[in-house]
Amino acid sequence: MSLKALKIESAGSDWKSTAIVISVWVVWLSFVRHLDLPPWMSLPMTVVVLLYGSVLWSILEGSLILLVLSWIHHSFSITPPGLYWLSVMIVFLGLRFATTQLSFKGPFYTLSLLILGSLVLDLSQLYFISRTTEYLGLSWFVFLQIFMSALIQGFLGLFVSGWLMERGQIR
Amino acid sequence: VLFPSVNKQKSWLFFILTILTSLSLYFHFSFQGTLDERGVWIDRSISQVLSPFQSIFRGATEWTSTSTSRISELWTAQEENLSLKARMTEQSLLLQKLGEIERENLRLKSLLKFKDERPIKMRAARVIARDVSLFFRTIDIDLNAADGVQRGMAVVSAEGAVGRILRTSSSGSTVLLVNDVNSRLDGVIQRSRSQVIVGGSVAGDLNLQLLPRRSDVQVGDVVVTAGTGGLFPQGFKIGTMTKVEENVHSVLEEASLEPAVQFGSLEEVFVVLNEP
Repeated sequence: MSLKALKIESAGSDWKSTAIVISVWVVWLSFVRHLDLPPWMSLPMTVVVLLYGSVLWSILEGSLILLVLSWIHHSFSITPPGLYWLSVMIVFLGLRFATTQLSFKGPFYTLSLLILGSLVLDLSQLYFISRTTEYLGLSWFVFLQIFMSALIQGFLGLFVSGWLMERGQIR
Repeated sequence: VLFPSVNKQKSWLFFILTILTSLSLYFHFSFQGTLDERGVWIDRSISQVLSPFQSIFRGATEWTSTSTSRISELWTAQEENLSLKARMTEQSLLLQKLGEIERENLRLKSLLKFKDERPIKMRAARVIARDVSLFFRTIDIDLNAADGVQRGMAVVSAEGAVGRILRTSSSGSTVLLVNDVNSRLDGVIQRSRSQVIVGGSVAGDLNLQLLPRRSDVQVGDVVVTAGTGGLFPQGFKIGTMTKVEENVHSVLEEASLEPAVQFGSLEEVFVVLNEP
């Protein structure tokens, strides 16, 4: 039996790696919130967790895990957890479609997924905020911040994407 | 697969149930009730669990920033010393002048039989963390309920109004900044004494909201806290008017403010301990 097959059959290995990925994300959030970074350097890196989940979780598993993830995120931000859950679900479903229906074509493809995922995550949040708030005060600067944040998260996410993709291939 | 015992049909049933539960939670916590009341108990529980992580990172980042700032301070110490001495001379002259004005003010107040305002009790706090979102503006401070901090209390700095306490936990308190999209604050224009409402935005700018046309506002006007509503004490600077736009199709005008406080570089703030 190959090593890959062993990994598929090993009970609880997915739970373990899912827990590790979420724990690393929590530690990362704890770290960045204590740094004095400008808003365009907002780097929650949720898109990396979503990319990981898109190759390892089913839709059901994803929706439950992301619900927990939204509540955890709420202790780092005042973003309403329900609003965040809807946004991450949109990105998760999009990434899941991309990772299951399309084949990976190298780092540029992964980078595009990370940047697009991050952009959609922020833009969908912005849309939901606009539905709950009377005055948004939108400007080109906001969109520039969203773009810059997505770009940096994409490049940072690329560092760990090799491991993520490997996990996806094993599955 | 995380749930191997769930078959495909049950999986869809689970999925629909999850969607319904999640949507009900979403509508419950996001739309019903004010921002202050959203998911407080769940939030508190998660904050308790994450508190040790936060403390470790707070300690590590503080140690790093203190060490690096100490090294850089050594380079600029002499220059800073000279400028501080000059500033101290200026301040002591100003203090003498203000002392005279205060005495005059007290004398005039007693002549007019003005009732003395409630004294402001303040407590210094350090900024320990910031919101990780692009669209919301909050900071965390190192004081909590045990220090007498309560939800709704005003937070100020030497530059002006900073925000209000949104929630308290065992590790500290979260402050909703005045430039957050959820923030609304009663202000008054120092020159004309016109009452205005100052709000924030997703970009972190300050603006005057529901400003009637032909209001007495000009570029360069200073807006301070009105002291109405019992949240902020009167007279804390909010910002300076940078743009006033007349909209011919609306009964309202639009105006922008430059915040008095540099929110990005806040390190120390003061919590106004008077109950809101």
